[in-house]
Amino acid sequence: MTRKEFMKELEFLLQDISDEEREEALAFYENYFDEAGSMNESQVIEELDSPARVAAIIKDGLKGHFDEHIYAGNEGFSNDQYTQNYEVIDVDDKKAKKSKKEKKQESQMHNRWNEMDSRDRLILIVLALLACVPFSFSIFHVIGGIFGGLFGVGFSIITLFFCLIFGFWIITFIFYIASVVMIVVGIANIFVLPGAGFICIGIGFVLMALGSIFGKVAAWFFKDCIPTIINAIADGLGKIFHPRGV
Amino acid sequence: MIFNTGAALLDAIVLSVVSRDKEGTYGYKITQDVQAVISVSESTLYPVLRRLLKDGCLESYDKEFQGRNRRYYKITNTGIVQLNMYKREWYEYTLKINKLFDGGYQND
Repeated sequence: MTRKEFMKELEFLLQDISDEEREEALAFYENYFDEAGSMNESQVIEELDSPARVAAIIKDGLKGHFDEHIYAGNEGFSNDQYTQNYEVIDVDDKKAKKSKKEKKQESQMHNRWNEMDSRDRLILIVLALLACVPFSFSIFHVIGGIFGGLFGVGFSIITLFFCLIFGFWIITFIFYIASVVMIVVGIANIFVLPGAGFICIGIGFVLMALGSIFGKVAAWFFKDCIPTIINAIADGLGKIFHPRGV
Repeated sequence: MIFNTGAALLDAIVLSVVSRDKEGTYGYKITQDVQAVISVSESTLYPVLRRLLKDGCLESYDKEFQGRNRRYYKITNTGIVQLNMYKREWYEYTLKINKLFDGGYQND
């Protein structure tokens, strides 16, 4: 990592503090590099450890509790919190840590809800509720053949999407009911009119099969489509509110 | 050998180092001077300086040095009072502890 990269990363990580504090801190470290001289650049970077560690200390300093856990002794000052979190013992450990980090990122993909803080959760819930508002009105729209109209094209798309999902469940349900009715009617008639009875039972099984197909499609929507979409939304939110996992 | 010291001792050390230069001193030199005596992480000193500035114990000014700005830190009167208080506290505290350790101190 070069000085330029280090400072750029630090600036990035300090986005969420006030302009004044950020400029002050960046000026301090620019100054620090200047004074140390370009000969010592890599040494300074090594001593500062990582932009993440420096940024964490600056931010904790603003909150007024960065040195709550500082200990003094013959060895000098140390802060176990930052040591545990940021210091790396050797190269192997570093690699292990890195792959662990990557793994963690992977698992985050599937566990966004748990990773979110309460503010993000609230925003997501509000968004989900907003998306549901048109749905409650729109069943009638779709049934009555009035698409869009009052809620505009955007709402219609959401509406259509929800109706598709729930429509599949409804169709599945209707098919099953119809198939049961046909089978019952068929059995009832089997002794009086054997031919018609068997046809009825046959139609009942066909309907049941169709119902199963729609049921599978609906289940696919719920199991795969919706989580993917929610993840995509959560991903977007995460990027807005927590740039690069700060 | 580790004691939880909190913020005050770091403040006292930085104030003491800055007070040695009447014209003020700059961030890198403060770090070097502190590290010459006791090991402390570079990144730890920035929040200390920032806090001392906000509390009015230090003041900063920019001065040109070799074609660029160098930020100097200088102790204020408030800072001098604060430093003297820290020093007095430290002497009394360590005196008591030393006496206790050496076995001579008894609270009659």
